[in-house]
Amino acid sequence: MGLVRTLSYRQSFSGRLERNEGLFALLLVLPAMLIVLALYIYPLIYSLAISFLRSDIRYPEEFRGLKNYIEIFQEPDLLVSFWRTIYFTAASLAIEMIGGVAIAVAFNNKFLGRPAARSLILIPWAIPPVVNGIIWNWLVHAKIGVLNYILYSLRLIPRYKPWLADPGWAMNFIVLADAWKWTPLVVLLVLAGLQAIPEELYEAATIDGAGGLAVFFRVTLPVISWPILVTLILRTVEAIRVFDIIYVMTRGGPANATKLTTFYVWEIAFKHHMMGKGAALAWLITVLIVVLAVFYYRLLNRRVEL
Amino acid sequence: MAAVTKPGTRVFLYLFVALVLITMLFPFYWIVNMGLQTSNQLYDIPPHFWPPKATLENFRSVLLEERGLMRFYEAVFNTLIVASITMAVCVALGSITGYALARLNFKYGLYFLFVLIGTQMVPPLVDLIPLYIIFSRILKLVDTKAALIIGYTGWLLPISVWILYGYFQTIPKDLESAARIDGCTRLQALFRVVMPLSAPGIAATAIFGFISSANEFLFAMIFTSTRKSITIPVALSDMIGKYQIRYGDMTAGAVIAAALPVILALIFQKYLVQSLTAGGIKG
Repeated sequence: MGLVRTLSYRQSFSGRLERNEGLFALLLVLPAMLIVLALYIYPLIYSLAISFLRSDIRYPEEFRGLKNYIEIFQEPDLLVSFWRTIYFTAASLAIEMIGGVAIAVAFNNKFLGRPAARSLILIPWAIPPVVNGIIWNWLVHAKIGVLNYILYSLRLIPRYKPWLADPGWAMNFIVLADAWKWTPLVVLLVLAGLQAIPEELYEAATIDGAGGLAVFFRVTLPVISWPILVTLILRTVEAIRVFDIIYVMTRGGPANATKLTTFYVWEIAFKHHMMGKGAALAWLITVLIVVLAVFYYRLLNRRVEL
Repeated sequence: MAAVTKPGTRVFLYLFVALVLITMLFPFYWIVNMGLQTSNQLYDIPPHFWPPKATLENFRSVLLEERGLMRFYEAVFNTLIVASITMAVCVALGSITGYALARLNFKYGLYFLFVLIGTQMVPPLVDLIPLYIIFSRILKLVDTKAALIIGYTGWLLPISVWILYGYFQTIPKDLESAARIDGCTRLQALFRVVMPLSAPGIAATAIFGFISSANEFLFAMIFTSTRKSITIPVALSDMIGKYQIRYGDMTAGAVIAAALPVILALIFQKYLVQSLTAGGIKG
């Protein structure tokens, strides 16, 4: 009896699913919704709440209002770390975007071995960031680095140089390592945009007497500006939260020169266990990201109108 | 594309492509080259641009010998488990969610898509702090593979949904309608018609999920501490700080860590590129 009832219930339930598209869709989407709610939305609110607390294993929890935020603005090196983050983001994005667009334009031509070349440039993208850091550590190593050997052989440096011990060079090599890994992704995204441009557009431009550069700025660039914007936003978010290669290459040194804000969040929250202050700093980074995203969006809109 | 015809321009094109390939491949070549040399050979000046007597000794010793209470192959094992399960969950949930959003008439679908994109703006550290508190104080999940699987699923599910949503939209609707007229239920139409046709998109999502979770470092470093759960990137980074640096361990370990993601990316590059770019271009 019970079985029959269950069966008939089941049938009517699946019957309702057949008829009611909205219900069926809701059932399919529900697990993902719950996961996003539990692992993104709830922690986001939770971390905002923590950022107003003293959440520190050494002390009992205590409401502090804006004190965590105020403390952040009172620490000179934390503020400097925002500039470092902006320098790192701007420098690595400049290399990635200019290099990525240039490579994509070149790869959009037919040449011998193009399919192989397009596969092979995926290698840096697939390499784990930690391995990326290790690779560059070895390349610029003070004693056995191949960079030192090449520069020394070419008489460009008088003796082997400990590159990562120099504050300026350390930052720039981290930028380089990051750009090496991510330029391929920019190439792929821009290349996909380029391939959507119909051949006739180029022909028309050439017939009208436009030269190579004019074709690039008048035809190519406007069409790929949307993929470029998407790539720019994606890469900005990723660059601002860079952590792995810094941890592997310099641990924030020398003399804090490569301590970006994300690194400070990790240090404050997980090394010094000051969760409240860490959460406050993490929220400031989020604000920075949102501001930048809005800025890009405005910038692109203006360009399109021109 | 405008055909480049002038011979001078073609020479320039080939030179540029060669330069790009050398830049992109040399660093990886170099770590493989180092992994195949003994520590003494690494100190030779000039450095060997080709291993003089290639040996796999570094790979054997790093994988099998005990280093700081664990063996590297245990980290490889943990990584494979975490990455495979994360991949499976993301593909399963990503498929049904992506399908519902792409195909079904669902009132709040658009809002949910916006939320999914919004999640990508949030730096992971914002969520990591509360997740750490929840995982350590309430769920007692610290130093388990489950913590990594849950964390990675939350991180990668939005992207998986997004990629598959884009892919399902390219499948002609007629095929599904035909199956429904032939008497398939909605679920049957999804599993027997839409999913098989979407195999390339699903493969790409799977590979993307696998590579991303196998390569992840920050979350794994915070949530793992022993052989029970440490993954390859954490095991590798531990080699840098804690013990006397063994060059052979680090070079061979780095090659092992990179091998699987690189091979997967090369095999599935066509699908990966299609899916990654489709999401980006359609925006």
